[in-house]
Amino acid sequence: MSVSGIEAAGFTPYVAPQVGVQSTPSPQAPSAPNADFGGMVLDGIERLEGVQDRADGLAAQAAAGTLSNIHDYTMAATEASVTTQLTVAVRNKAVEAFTEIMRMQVG
Amino acid sequence: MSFATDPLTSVLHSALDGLALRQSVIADNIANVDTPGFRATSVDFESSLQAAIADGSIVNGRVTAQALPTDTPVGENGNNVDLRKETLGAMQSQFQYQMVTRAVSDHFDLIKQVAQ
Amino acid sequence: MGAFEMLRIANTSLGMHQTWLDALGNNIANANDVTSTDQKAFQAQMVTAQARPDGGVDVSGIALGSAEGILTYAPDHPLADADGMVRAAAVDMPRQMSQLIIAQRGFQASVQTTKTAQDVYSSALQIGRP
Repeated sequence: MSVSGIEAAGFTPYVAPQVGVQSTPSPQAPSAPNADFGGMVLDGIERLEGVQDRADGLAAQAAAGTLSNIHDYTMAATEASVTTQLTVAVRNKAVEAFTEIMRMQVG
Repeated sequence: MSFATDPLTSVLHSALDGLALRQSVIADNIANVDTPGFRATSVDFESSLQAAIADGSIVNGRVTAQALPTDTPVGENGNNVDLRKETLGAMQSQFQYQMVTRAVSDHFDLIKQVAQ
Repeated sequence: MGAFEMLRIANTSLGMHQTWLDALGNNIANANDVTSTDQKAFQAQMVTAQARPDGGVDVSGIALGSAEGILTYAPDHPLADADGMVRAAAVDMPRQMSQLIIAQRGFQASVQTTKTAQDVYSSALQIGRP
């Protein structure tokens, strides 16, 4: 899995093992990639919302009795949790970097 | 907006879907072990999943599995359920399922560690 | 819920096999039944099964055996008629016994499915848990 924006904050992104894909999945989202860091963070947040919505939808299905497979929900929930953690980490690093820069200018 | 899942998650999710279908089919075969005229079915998701991995189409999303008739010999009342085969199949697919769910958890665990 | 198909299917099988076992047990218990000729003989119950289109199995019907039974000459029997005849139940004991074994095996096989289902559902619920 490649996470937009982490590289800019100085992290090496975790890339899933290549499974027969010819081209390396690029860090940018398949649709209209954002080149600047701020844009990449926003893409990440958008992705997070999508993942969270999907997990919520499946949770509702589980409650209503229309869920097809238990693992559909538990995988989506785990993915949402992991994506949230990563997005929070990126945001924290971004804030840290910004604070660092502001301190430099003042000092 | 796209929130494409990483290929490995698609592989694992496809495997879980295939195994879940296989288990339902095995349950059905076993339930009908004494039903006259009943023909057993089976699920093979491994072949299509391997093919999707090999040609890269797995990045487009999960692979769906199908239940197809088997060629087990038919008994005198038209039933062709082989109870021993189904029982072994149930045991094996249960362990396979546990293994793949473990792989999913491990995969997400590694990603979580990046966020530490 | 589609998520619990294995359990639902196993339950239909447990229900059908239980009905079958009850019928067989009843047949065996009444195999030596004797009635007078002005009444019906004990009729064995024969359970028929059919596959459900959505998976699993249903009892499609319970047929009754011969009401005539087997006319037997037993002049000393209290229920004997003027000719000394009684009706014995037309129950094929060896067949009932072998069916009993088959029905028990079928029942147990689906019990095993419910156990497998529990393990599988637990695994699915553990995804993402430490």
